[in-house]
Amino acid sequence: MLAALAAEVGDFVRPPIDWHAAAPELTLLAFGVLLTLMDIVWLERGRKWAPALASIGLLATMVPIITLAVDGADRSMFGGAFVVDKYALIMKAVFILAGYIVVLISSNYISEGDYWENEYYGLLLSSILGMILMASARDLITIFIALELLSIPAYMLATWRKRDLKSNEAGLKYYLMGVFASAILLYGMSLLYGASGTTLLVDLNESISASDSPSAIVVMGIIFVIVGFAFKVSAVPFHTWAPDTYEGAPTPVTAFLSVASKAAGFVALMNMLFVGFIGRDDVYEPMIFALAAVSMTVGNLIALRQTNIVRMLAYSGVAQAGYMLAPLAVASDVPDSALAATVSYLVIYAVMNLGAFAVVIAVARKTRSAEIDDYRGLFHYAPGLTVAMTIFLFALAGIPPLGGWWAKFRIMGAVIEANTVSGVVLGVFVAVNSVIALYYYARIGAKMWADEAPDGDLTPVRVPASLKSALVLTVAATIVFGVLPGLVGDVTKVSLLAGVGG
Amino acid sequence: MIGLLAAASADMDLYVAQNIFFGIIAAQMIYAAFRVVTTANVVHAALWLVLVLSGVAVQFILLGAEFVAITQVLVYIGAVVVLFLFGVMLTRASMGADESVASEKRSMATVVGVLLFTVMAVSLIDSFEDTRLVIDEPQSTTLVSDSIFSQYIVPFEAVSVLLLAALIGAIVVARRD
Amino acid sequence: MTSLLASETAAVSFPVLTAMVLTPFLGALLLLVLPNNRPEYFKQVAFLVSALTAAMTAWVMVEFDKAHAATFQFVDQYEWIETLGISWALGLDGISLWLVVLTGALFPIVILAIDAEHSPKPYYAWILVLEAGCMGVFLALDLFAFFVFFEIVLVPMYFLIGQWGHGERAYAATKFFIYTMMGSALMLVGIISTAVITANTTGNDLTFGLIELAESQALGQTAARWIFLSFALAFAVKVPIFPLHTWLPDAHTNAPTAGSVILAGVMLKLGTYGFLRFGIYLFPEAAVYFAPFLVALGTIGILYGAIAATMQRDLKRLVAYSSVAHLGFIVIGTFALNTEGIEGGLLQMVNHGVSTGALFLLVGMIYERRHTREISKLGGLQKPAPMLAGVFMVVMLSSIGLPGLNGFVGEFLTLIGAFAAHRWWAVVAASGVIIAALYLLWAYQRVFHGPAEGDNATMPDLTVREGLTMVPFLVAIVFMGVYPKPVLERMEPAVDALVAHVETHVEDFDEPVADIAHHVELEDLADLGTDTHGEEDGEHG
Repeated sequence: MLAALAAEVGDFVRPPIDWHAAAPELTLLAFGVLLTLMDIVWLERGRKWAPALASIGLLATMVPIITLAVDGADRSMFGGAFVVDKYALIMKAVFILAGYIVVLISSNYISEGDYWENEYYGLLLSSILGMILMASARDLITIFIALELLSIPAYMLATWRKRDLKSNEAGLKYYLMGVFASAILLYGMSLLYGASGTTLLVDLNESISASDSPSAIVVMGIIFVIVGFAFKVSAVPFHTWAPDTYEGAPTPVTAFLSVASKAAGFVALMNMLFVGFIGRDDVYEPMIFALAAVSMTVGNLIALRQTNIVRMLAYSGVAQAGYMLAPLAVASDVPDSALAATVSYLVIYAVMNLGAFAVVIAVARKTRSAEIDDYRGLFHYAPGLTVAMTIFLFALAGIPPLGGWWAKFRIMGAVIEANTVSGVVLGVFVAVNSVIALYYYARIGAKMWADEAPDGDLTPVRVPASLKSALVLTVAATIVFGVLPGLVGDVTKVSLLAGVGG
Repeated sequence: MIGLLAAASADMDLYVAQNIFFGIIAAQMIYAAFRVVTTANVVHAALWLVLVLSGVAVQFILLGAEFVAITQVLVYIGAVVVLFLFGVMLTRASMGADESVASEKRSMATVVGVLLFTVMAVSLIDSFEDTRLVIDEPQSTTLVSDSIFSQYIVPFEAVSVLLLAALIGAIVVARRD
Repeated sequence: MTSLLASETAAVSFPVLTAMVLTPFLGALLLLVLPNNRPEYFKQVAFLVSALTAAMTAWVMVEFDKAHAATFQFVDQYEWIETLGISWALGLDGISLWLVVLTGALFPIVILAIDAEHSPKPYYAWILVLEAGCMGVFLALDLFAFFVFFEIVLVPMYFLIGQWGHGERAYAATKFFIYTMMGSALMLVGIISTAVITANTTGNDLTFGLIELAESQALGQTAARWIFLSFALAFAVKVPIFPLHTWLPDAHTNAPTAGSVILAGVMLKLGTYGFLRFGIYLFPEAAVYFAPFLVALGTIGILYGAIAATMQRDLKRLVAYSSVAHLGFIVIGTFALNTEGIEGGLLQMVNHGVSTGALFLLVGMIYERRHTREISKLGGLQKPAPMLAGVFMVVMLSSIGLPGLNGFVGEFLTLIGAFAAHRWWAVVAASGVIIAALYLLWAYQRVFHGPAEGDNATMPDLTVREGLTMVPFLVAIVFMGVYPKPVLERMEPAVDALVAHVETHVEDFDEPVADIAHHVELEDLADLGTDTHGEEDGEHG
């Protein structure tokens, strides 16, 4: 590539830039800058406007996403390094809306806890900026930078409760493991670059799928890249950071990590697999198969033993990552179905998991704890929250007609459609694991509905308006996705292969 | 890497001087790298690391990649190692030899290190064998800058946002309040 | 059961089946928005909604064209998720008709007969959701829709047991939930595999439509057997077939009375119905292959349930174990794979729903009065409550299978069918009838006879309302015992078609026919009720 550019030394030509395609990123960036400037100019007075400005910024970012979607054309810049297609737009919308809900569930938590508010939202926005960039990235360097942009603010958000040792532990552990994973990932990318001489994923695929491409180093490169992302999506055995981080981090941040950050990891992984590695399914498919099967089983089995609801959700998140990985293990056989299945799952998982965390935050406003035993008798003093939590837990367990069921159906549909032994085995894994998972979800349900409240304390939980609206949004989406799955079905009829090449 | 060296030196009509220097510097790097992990003195370890990293920079120059070489010196030696030394200074780590540095996990680490080295060496040798990489002209900084501001403009701009965010976040986390 | 989707007979424009599923569900939503300050309305609204559903069921029953009982009638089909070939398809044939009628009739009675112990709003809402789910299972003609309903019914039952149950209710609810989920999870793999393999083999678009899948029979032998097992596991847990029955006594014992009645009356049939509609219809070869195995398990279930029931000290647990035994009869009848057996099984499903439902209702009434179900603490109830004792007697005799009452016809047909197919298992199973007589009569004797002491002596008799709720049960018990023909003749074409379907698609399979079946034509069965020697005929062949 450098050789190709050598001819143009001296007369630099600016590459054409499609401003419409870059508009979502630029809008979000503008609001991030505005947020920071507001802090500088207004100091303390601007503080209470920070969440509002962050929400407006996120919603404003939806505008160019929608106009791009209406326009419908696939756009590609820099030789295909930055692509805006239907898939990218859906994932951008997921990140933005997940971020919006995180802002909603954060606002009271952060302002009441006397944290650094403005900086909190600033970092949140920059992390989301990294995520929406990731959705369009089809180039090794862009993917890596986007990954760092979304991770580094997240490391610091995890340790935002500075005076709490657990939060410090959370941030430090997340940081160390994250950096370790980044190093492995980058090493893998450098090996792939060394073998192919290109950073563009399309060219990379062409180069490493060719019969004369160096084999050993490509295999090592692919393995390292997948391991790097496995940390990010918290797949077993690279999940060890997740429970401690989730437990120690401020709960809204945990919600953000478990949904948006994980989704971003998946987006990156899907970009790599479907565009960069699709010709080398002999390497990645067995690996993804093992990661998926082990993640769901181990995640669920450990989740059974948890007594803290956040840790339980963390391990259930590990298991859910396993479900989402499953279709990727048959990516070469049924690429469209596999991609659609994982994207559907990501969309629905984002909604139901954010909802569950919103309830955890609401309940913790009264109980000041996240122990599962403190959910006993919740129905007697917070019936609304109990209903919402039950909906989310059953959705996570995949009970029809809630959203999670449709997500799980898509996953199983994709792996079975592949018509291979490994696909059917994964389908059975998913089925058996849904039952194991049901046990711990239903156990919380039983505690909330059937038990008596501890100490007979029946003071109701006061749920602030922003948290309430987050709950309403997530409950509605969880139900709608389940009853009218055609909605997600149509939206996620995407293909990564179609959009590239420009 | 040894394979490359062997392959290159077998072909004496090409880059003789480069290959000799490569060997010398590589040997020095390996020795220094061993010292980094065997010395019990944290400060010494950091200084040995300087030697390893500057070795890398020199190798880049031998390959004609001047910009990367300079960056290597600026970033790693100028920033990272200095940061290490500041870290050692600001925390209460002992300046002299510290036996606790050599922990009982050392044997485990050795096994992992040797394994990783073997795997990587084998796969590199297997992949490139005696491929001859021809470097006909040094890569100019202009080229690098041109490609950063055209092909890689998006990640470049993203890095600036990243640095700002990291700066703000680090201040919040580090400051006493 | 030919591939006619659009019925030429009942050309109704009103989507009555969809209405039957959605009415209870919308009723549940209506309950949720009712104001809390008038709690007495909850029950009335719930009753009206379920009565409306029952009225639609009755209309369907009357309009049902018995000449075309083998085809699906009143079919409603709408696209649901077009890209995956999933549709909202509901239909009714001779196999599902009576189960739908049973569902439609049982729910209003349950709502009327039993008051919520507390929090009436969610209680009645859950019961209505349960009704919608059960209706959906019996009516669904699309595997996806079927699975959704099959899973949906778990949720309301989980809450009914967990919130309004007694004793170890949280444990029982969770156990029930996990067990039944365990079965159905693998069925989902089976359902998707069936659709995918069929689409691949036939080259048609992916579809989850039951009839298309069953008629194309595109699965290979091995695949079909594995997939049949995944379905069978789901249904076997639901039935429950020994040794997967352990959730049932716990669930029944700890469930509120309404939960027990619905569980026994309708929900257990979801499994046996599933075997007929999906197991045998979709995988005839596998069904034939595994039939001996399932008949053996059914027989073990009959004996095990009967013996376990004999040893129970809790009246409700006793009835629960008797359910295990009764369901065993249904299983052996179904997997006899001949007209008599399947018809007997089908009839027995309805009978069991009526008699065991009524038994649970009666046990609930006793519990309400005496706050105990320990057989040893009850006694002599006949004196203070003669009406209760009388009704109990009739229902119990129907459950035993006394000729002249409904239980006899079903058990008799079942045994004929099973005898033709698996002679020795049928002989062993018949002994279960005797044990059933033993434990039920013994229990009756201990509870109702003897001197009434203490609280037993002052126990009030049935109230008018309770008496009225028992009337439909008694009518059904006697009517179906004396004159089963209207019921049987609507089943028969559908059952015949199913058996013919199996014969067409399985080489070397001919309907097993017993000698006796040649002599007993179905038209004569109407008179069987009065034939007191019929039962022995069944045993000795």
